[in-house]
Amino acid sequence: MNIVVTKNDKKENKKIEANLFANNLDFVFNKLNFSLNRRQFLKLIGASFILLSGITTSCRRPEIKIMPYTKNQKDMIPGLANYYSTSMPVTDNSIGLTVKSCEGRPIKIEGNKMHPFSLGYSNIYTQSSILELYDPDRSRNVKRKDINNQFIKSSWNDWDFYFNELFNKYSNSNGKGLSFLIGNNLNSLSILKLFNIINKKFFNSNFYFYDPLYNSVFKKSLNIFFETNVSYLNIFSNANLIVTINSDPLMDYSTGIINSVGYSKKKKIYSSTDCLNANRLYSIEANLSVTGMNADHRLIISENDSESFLRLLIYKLLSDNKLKWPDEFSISLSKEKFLDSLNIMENVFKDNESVIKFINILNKDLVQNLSRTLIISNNCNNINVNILTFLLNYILLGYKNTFEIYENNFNDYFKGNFDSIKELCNNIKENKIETLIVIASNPSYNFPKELEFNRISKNIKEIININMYENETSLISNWHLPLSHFLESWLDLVSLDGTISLSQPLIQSLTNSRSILDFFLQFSNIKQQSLQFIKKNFYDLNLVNNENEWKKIIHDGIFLKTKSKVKDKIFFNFNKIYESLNKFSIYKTSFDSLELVLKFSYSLLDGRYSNLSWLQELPDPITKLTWDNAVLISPELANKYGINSDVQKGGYKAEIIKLISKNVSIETPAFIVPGINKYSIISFLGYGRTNSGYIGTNIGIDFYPFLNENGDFIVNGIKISKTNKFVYLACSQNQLAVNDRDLSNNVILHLGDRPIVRSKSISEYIDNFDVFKEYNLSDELLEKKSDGYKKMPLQMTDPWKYNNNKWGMVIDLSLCIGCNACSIACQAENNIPIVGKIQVRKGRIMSWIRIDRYFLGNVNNPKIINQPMLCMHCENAPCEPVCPVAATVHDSEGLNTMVYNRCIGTRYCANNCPYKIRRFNYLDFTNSGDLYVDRINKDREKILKMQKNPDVTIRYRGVMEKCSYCTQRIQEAKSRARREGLDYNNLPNDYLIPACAQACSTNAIIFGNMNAKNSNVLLLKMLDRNYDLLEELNIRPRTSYLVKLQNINLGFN
Amino acid sequence: MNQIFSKNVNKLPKIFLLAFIFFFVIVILIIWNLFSPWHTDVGYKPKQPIPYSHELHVSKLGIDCRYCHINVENSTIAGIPSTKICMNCHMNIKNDSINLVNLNYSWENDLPIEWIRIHKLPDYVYFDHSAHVLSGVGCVECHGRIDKMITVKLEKPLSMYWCFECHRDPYKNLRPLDKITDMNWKSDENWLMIAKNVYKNINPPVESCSGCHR
Repeated sequence: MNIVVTKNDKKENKKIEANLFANNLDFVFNKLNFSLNRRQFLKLIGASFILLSGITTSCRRPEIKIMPYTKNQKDMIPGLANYYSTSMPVTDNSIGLTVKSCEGRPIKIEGNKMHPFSLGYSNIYTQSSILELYDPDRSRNVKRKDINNQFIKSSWNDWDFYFNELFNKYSNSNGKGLSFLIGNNLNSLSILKLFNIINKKFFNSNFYFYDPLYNSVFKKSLNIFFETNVSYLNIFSNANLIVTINSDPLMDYSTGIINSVGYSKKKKIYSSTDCLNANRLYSIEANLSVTGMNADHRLIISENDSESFLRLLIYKLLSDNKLKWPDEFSISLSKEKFLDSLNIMENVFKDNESVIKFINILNKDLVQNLSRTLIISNNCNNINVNILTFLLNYILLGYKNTFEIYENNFNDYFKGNFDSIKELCNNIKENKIETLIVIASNPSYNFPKELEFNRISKNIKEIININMYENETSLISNWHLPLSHFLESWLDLVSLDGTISLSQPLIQSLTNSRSILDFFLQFSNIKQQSLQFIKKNFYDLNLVNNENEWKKIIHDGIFLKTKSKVKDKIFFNFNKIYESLNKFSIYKTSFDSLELVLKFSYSLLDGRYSNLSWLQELPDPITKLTWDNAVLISPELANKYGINSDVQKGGYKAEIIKLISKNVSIETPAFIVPGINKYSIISFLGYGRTNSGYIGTNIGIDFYPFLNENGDFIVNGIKISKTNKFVYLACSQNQLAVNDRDLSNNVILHLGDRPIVRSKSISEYIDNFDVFKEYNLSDELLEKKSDGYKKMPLQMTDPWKYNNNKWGMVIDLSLCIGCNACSIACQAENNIPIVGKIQVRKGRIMSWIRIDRYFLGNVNNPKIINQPMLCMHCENAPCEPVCPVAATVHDSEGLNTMVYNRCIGTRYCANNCPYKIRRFNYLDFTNSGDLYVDRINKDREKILKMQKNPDVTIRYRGVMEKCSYCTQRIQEAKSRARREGLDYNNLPNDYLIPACAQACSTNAIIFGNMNAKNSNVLLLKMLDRNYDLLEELNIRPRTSYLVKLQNINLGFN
Repeated sequence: MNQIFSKNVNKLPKIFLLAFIFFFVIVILIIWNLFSPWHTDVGYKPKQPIPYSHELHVSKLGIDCRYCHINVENSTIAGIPSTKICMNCHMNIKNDSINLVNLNYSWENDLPIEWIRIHKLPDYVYFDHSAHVLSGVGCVECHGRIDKMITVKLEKPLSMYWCFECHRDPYKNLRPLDKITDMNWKSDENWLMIAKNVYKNINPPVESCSGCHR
């Protein structure tokens, strides 16, 4: 049902009245010919005042119209949300989604529980793709260049007409001069079929593929090692010991969700047996990645040295004779010959005691956990590192449990990112390409600058750019055609393990666009709807046999696996492996010759999400930087060069340094982060877009110029120089901290005796189960009687008794990996606005749940703890007594509610909140008011408001807000329980889940009814690991934390 | 020396004071009354695009509320009937009536009928029809005698004060679940005796803002 408000604004009326009166006054007086003295004037004013007030008070409320459907929509009940399955294409994989749709508008994305790459969880990318759908900056028109080289509006008819000409032209030459550059959405049965058709028709044409996120080097290594075309999956849940080498599997774009789900399986330590089963994570890296933050042990070495490290590790492992050289290897390669090829004499670490100690301890651990070890190098761009990883995984018997290999039919087309585009650019240079059709790619921005695409593109007669946004490539292209979002289009996708999932449209195209399948159907001259084509293809391949099976696929969103697992039959091509290992180049990094490591930004990835404001404002997991990128350097490097970046009031004051490589030099702010290799500089790609809509244009610095044509994400021989210029960056943490820090000191945070973040090692815990008691308040401060689960601080009054539902939350610090998925999920669910860089610098970021990151211990290799902070819903909430208008009060189920309508904006509550989780709308961040109208944002909001959750109030300027424990979901659940005949006053344990907990792939956030039977929240609160933040204040927070347990290897002590 | 003012003048300040207080109270009462939803909203009776008479359909023809307002038991919104529901009957009955011009227009052109909203709660209140109906609150309690209205008008002020009248003491406004749509049903002593047992788990939000405001 659509409700439309017709504007009948009182204010408007008043204004018109006043204007009419003022204009006509003189005229009236002149006509009546009388002079106005003071008394008459006052009379007149009084009369007009009464008249005006009479008119305005008699104004009825605005007339609102209700427009029902003419015909009832099947399955659509106004007021109730519908849920549909779909799936999202991610590089070479797909993630199954369940999308909440309110009256035809998709508003929230969750994971699909049945999909093997989602398991019901989500990450920041799936969550924010809903914003991408409603992005006002998506291109809305077909555009073409006219004779004067000006972009003009065109139409699909024009394009169809033009394409027919093009089609006829290339039909004659069998596609000579026609090329396609494709950026995404590859693993699809339909597109595979269309590829074949197009290839057959235009056999002289070429397909090129380029997706920077796709690790083609890893793929190449797989091909060398396993010979056949396979896809490789890490099984985290079976691994007791995980070693990552320059990789970030927990934040991986395509498999990050299931990696973290698997990782968390053995981190859930709720009993002493769990302690023994806990997994251990080693990270060997130069960067401080999210996985590295969670590692139990980190070895910080240059990325260049990771091959040396792995060679030495394998050498030590095999030469000790603790590990068997597999028989199937001996046939083609003897152990001695292999050890020889490791070339240990040239190894940089052969005399490095600390690394050798690390290797010895790690080796011992690896041998102890045989067949339960997992070595990961998925993000490595070094063939030898990958090959050695596969080898190590194999000889450690990982094939039994920890990795799976699947046959792969798709990536044959993916000739390898950088090889592919090198070939493309060569062909362009040789004038072989007349028409280049660019699909969902942005070569002008993300091609390596060495290839000089922008310059040589003039050799191409015409570029046809098909993209969701008008981007850098649109500027040099002759046609720009809008592409549909995956939530608007039909597509079938194949995951890495062969699961077929279906993308179904949730809404008709908002931007007059066509889906990728529509385009391919057009190119192959098939006049069929994309849905019909997919369906027919499924029938043809015998995947479905009748309509019911087809309906089930649409309903579930997924289909059974089609690819078979490759099991024991692994053939090794040792010639190639041997050949590859014999090439061993060492690059020694030093302060004079640094390495620049190019990583993809956690928020924007390769730049594809640069126009999504949620992701722009999402704090980086490590630096907590928003709206910007900076290079990360270690404190040692900063000391060496005298770089004075530091937190200051009003932002992070970063010194601008100049990075100089052979070809490129770039000025960039430097951000000092503990725990980064001293010879490495970490930079993030994805920023510095020059044509990316209202949000993403000219934000940050573009590091693509450093990317070379071979796709090495590492640049050696970098020199840096100071510029003595400074810039303020916006951070979400630290910049408002009260006490000073001293980086030269080893201890960064002085937390006192009862720290805010607590961590212990598992061995300490097993030795002494009372280890957490050291944090307890002294006995004389504690109440004698216990409140159900734990002793409480002393209090004069009796605590309130909750007879109905009693909500509570536990956050397990061991499980929180700091991935930020909860933040974005909350933003989508609760209509949280973004504020922009200037406001973030003022500390006005609006996120209801933030993740605080703490460095502890040694500044060169610190321990890191992530702590999600949200409203604790304290029992003795300090915010409540200070509110003069009772705008924040407790409800009968223990929630600390925020009554927006009462709030007058004194901000006393925020000042009295010890956790600093209250957020104030200093400005009209939601663009909902009419007092101050920002015209651009107001127009953008017209489209963006379609995403807003109708069950949550949009807050206006001057109103305080904070986490509500998703009170709308609680009310919805109670209402649902009533309809289902359950006791809504005592909801079962898992009857509802707040947005943050639903998104959390590691189950770090657990929410539930503490009065329910077998309440898991209550069980967790009874653990001795459970602690209340700032317990000594006796505010009795309802959200409590579990002490982080780290699985420290005692060998390091 | 003669007094300038007579003795009676001494009363004047008191009279003025009393008059002022009286005037002040009157002003407050007037504002209270005139600006309250009782005055501003109750009686709102706009002209609808189709002169649909509830009296005819409910009282005379005996159609149940839920025949048209289909979602009242399972959604937050009771739902305004779609044109299709009207046309179930009017395809055959009185289809050529002049009153049904807009209906036929909507049906033929697949355009919605633009009804004018009458029952509107203040912003920032999230009302759930199903929760109320399933708890035994009859239609008549909030919508008044719809069956007597030729043109629907607002009978209750739908203000928070009015909500609380019932939320604080719900039992006198509850009825058996099979009488929800019955406009003529009156509660009696016997019912009031057993209502507390029938709805013993009912727990309308009284103190909890979060019950209705999110």
